[in-house]
Amino acid sequence: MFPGIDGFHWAFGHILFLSLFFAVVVTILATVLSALWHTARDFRTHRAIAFCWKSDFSELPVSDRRCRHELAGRVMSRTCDNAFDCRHCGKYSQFAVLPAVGTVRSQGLDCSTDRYYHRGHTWVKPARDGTVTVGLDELATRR
Amino acid sequence: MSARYGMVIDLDRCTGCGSCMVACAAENNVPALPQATPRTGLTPVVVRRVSNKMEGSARRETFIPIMCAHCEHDTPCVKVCPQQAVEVDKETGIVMQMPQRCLGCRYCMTACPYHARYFNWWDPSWPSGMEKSLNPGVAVRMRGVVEKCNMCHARLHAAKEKAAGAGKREIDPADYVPACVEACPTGAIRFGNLADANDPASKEARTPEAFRLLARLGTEPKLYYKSKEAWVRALAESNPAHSSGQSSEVQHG
Amino acid sequence: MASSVLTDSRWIARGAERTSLSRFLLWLSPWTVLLAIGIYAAGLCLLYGLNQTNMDNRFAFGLWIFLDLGIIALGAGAFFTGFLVYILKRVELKPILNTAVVVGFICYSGAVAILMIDVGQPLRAWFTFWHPNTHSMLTEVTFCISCYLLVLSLEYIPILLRNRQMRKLPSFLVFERQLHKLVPVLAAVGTLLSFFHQGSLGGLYGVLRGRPFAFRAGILIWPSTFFLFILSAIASGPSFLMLITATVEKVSGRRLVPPEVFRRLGFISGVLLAIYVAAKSIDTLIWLNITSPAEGFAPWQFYSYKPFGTPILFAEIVLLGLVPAFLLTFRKTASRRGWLLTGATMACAGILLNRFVLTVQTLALPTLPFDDFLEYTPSWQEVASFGGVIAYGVILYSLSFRYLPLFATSKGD
Repeated sequence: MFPGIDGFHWAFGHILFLSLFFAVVVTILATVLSALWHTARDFRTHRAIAFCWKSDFSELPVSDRRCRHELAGRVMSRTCDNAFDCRHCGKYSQFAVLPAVGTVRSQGLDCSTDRYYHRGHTWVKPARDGTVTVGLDELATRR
Repeated sequence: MSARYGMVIDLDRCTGCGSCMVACAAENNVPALPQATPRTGLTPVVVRRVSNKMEGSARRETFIPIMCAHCEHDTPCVKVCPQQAVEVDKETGIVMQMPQRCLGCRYCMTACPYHARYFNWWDPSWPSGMEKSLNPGVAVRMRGVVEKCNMCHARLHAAKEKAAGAGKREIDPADYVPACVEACPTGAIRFGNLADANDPASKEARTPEAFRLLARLGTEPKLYYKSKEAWVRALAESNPAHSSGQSSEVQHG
Repeated sequence: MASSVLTDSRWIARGAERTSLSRFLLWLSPWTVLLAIGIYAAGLCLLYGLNQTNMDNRFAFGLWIFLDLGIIALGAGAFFTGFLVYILKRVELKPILNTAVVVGFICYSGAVAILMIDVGQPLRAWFTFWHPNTHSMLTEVTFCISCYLLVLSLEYIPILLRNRQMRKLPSFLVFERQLHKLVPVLAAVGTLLSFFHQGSLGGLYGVLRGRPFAFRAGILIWPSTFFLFILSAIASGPSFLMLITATVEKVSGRRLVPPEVFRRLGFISGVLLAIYVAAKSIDTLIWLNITSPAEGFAPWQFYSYKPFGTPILFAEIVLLGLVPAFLLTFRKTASRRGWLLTGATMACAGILLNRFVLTVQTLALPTLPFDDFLEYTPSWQEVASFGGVIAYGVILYSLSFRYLPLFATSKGD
């Protein structure tokens, strides 16, 4: 294998065999190192984050893949041309101005976050012009 | 000047006594393995009993010692060993097996046309007390490696040392005699340098009665046999005939 | 849904249906027992030596070498599928690619494990790399199989990293993506290595002048068995993959790949088998009429020992060669799953028979004029060791099927 070993002399067979073998080993090592280097580079340039996000998002069940504005209560439901990637959203400003109405579950009842509730199952919703709206909650409206 | 050590075995003189096998085992520290069978035993020399496959008064039998033939051309075992654990010694023509490098893959054993290679299926062991009779000049082989006849290379070393001690360059041929040659009571095994035209063994190898087994494979073995009997020559050159076993091995030790 | 408290559902891909953990462990238990027996048998051989086997000085190669050659031939589906998908762009075979890699990994790692027990001094295995003999076919085999096992491991890692819990680690996720991009390079390297070692395994026997039954003429240093082994390996590889996939579909009770994949694999296997049969017939005729007589041996004599007579040759070429080639390619039979699988089984059996003839029958036949036809029966340790390898394969594949997306076709999965 090495010229130092007793009785060794180079023949065409040795050159052919060893060059093929080392070419293969170098290719395999280069592949692994290239993958590792590209991985490190992805982390440094933050491309890794984008990729991880995409992967995590696709891991979610279909019912959970919803627009954040939908989750915030600004819209009922919508489809997204941008695959729900809000970092590059052109319409974000349009939705942000809409009032966000969340829903909170308290004592077994759904309560909207834009109004105040009384334990007598009534609510008061202040409007921008100073008037208030009064109503009954879910339990009171049941027959 | 490189030698080509070979052997000529006179089959008409071989009595099948098996002294060569015993001497070889003693010289080369072959382990005594009572659990071995004829096919798993270690016998660098083995005497085979062959016949002309006839019955009654027409039956003829003889004994053929089989050992490594030290092939010269395209040596099968040398070509196939993945570790180069066997090589043809250029100075002596002896096919040298290196048990320390042998992996035990046994590819050489499938390649040998003469089945003259043997595997150490067990760890070497001797009955207690017998280890005192081991030859200190020959290393014991470990389990899991292949071994074979190496023309008592230790004796060649001893002859070289003796010659060097006497200030000579060439060894005295009388000093280098393999154990089987020395032990044969009828002198059936003749050993010598086939490259030397004056060597008696070399002369015998060139007589018309001398032949080699499986010479047609083209491996140029240096193990010759000699017989004046025509049936022996005919048997040696024939193909294996398909019949029930007519040969057996004489195992000693 | 698992009713027991112990559950591994967080390791299983979302949306994938798998049996309960307890049933899965039940499935694994007999194989684990078989593996344990195999490890015990192998341990005996390593501890006490190869006298635990029934191999001897005349049958230096036995059951293990025959099964090693067989398992490597059947595992050729791994490299060949990779070659077809990545190099020849036959994307319709993509669904079966992951299974091919896992099966290939199992076959090669199992073969290497058996080889480590088969040699007398396993710790000296590195000698072949340090003192290689470039004239020896076995050196080529050692180098290529070692490198190829490395390549298969590298191809298996991305599949492992697609496990649901593995994907949660960002570094694994990104590394898997980058490695996956380079898989075509690995597939090309794997093809080159496989070409050489499948061939060299055939070359092992073709160069033996001392065994005229196996000795073949060839091109340069490569005997014809070199090329025949490559052909037979790529013919049987796809068939074996088909059988594995069909078995997994049966056991899991659902359809895992489109039926088109089966038909395609069968067609490829059948065509290659037909080419192999033609090549082997020509090679046999050359051997019978030219090579063997030139060495001074009457070839028909080799077939005079019952039961290893010419029926074996007939079985190898016609019964388990031509017939399955026909079944796999002829449209009427190839369109029916039952016939397809029958053809695949026969093809694999034919290749195993070929390996058997070359490894075992070669050694049984006498060469010296006063020798006999020899017999050999493997010992229980040999059989058990190999049983352990099969058990290892089933266990590893079952684990891969349960926790990894082997048959997922969508990109995100």
